[in-house]
Amino acid sequence: MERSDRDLTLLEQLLQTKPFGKLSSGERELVLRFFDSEAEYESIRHHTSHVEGVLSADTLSVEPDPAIELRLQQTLSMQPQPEPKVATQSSFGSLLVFLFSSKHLAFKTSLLTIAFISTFWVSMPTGQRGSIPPIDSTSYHADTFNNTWYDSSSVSIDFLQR
Amino acid sequence: MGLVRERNAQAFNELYHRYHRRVFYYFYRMLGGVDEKAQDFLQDIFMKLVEKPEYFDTSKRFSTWLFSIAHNMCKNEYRKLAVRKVIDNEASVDVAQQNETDSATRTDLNLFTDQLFRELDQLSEEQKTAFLLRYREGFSIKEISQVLDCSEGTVKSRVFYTNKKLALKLEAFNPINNY
Repeated sequence: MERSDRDLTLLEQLLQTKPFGKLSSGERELVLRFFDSEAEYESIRHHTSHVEGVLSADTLSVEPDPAIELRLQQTLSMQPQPEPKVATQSSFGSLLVFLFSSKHLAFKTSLLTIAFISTFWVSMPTGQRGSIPPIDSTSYHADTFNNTWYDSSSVSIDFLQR
Repeated sequence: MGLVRERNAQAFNELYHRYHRRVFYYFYRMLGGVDEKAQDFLQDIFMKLVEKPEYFDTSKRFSTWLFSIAHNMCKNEYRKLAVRKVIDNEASVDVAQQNETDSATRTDLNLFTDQLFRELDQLSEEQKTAFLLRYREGFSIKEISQVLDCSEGTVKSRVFYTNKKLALKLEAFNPINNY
């Protein structure tokens, strides 16, 4: 007769929980397919619980050697540390994340400045790169006293003559 | 285990303290109660963990993975021992004789325990492992099947028949049979 996984699962449960006298007729039928008699079932049931108790309470007269732990710790301290994940990634995005995660404020500021200048440079017409934008001399003149720019059209002559 | 992979010493110590006695017990019982061998195997298994933590199979629970490594180490050792089977049998007879002479001063429980492990030593490595993991470690059938890398049905059958065989061998200790 086929002894399926299911039968064995049920049998293990029965051995742990029910004496033969409390089994249903279906359960008895199953038990008697695996054991020759009620006495054998009861004997195995007792043995299983006894063995479980003995094994869980069993202690050894010897202990693990403490030197093992020391040796393991020494080996562990000699192992190379793994590389930080960010540094091993090559993408530009990861590099930016790494740079901006830096704690140095000055470094961040410099980086932002470079980024700003680069953007300005790229957006500038090619012909104008490398030269100062021309100043319209008809509408502006320099105040030589304080180096500020004035719109001559908005400043009255009276004010200039005083 | 993630921290151990990053060579975190504290995480490793935690794992070691949590498992070293259990693993030592397993090796001791699996390898015929030879202290030195169990110590060596204990060091080897944790050394593997220190040197190659990336081998940890994240699909398994750590305890299941650790015992599957331990099981494979024992399996290899059993293969080596098979070559020296005759010598081992002679040694076990000596141990049995020694135990008989000591029996007068031992309690029934000690006698039962000694006899249980002597009978376990006569079983195959697979039967012994399944039995210890089930009744000592309290692993589920599913976990044992992962450790032994076999089906759950095979584990159930192995545990059941090992138990039945041991019960027959140890029936002298069963009070039910002593009426």
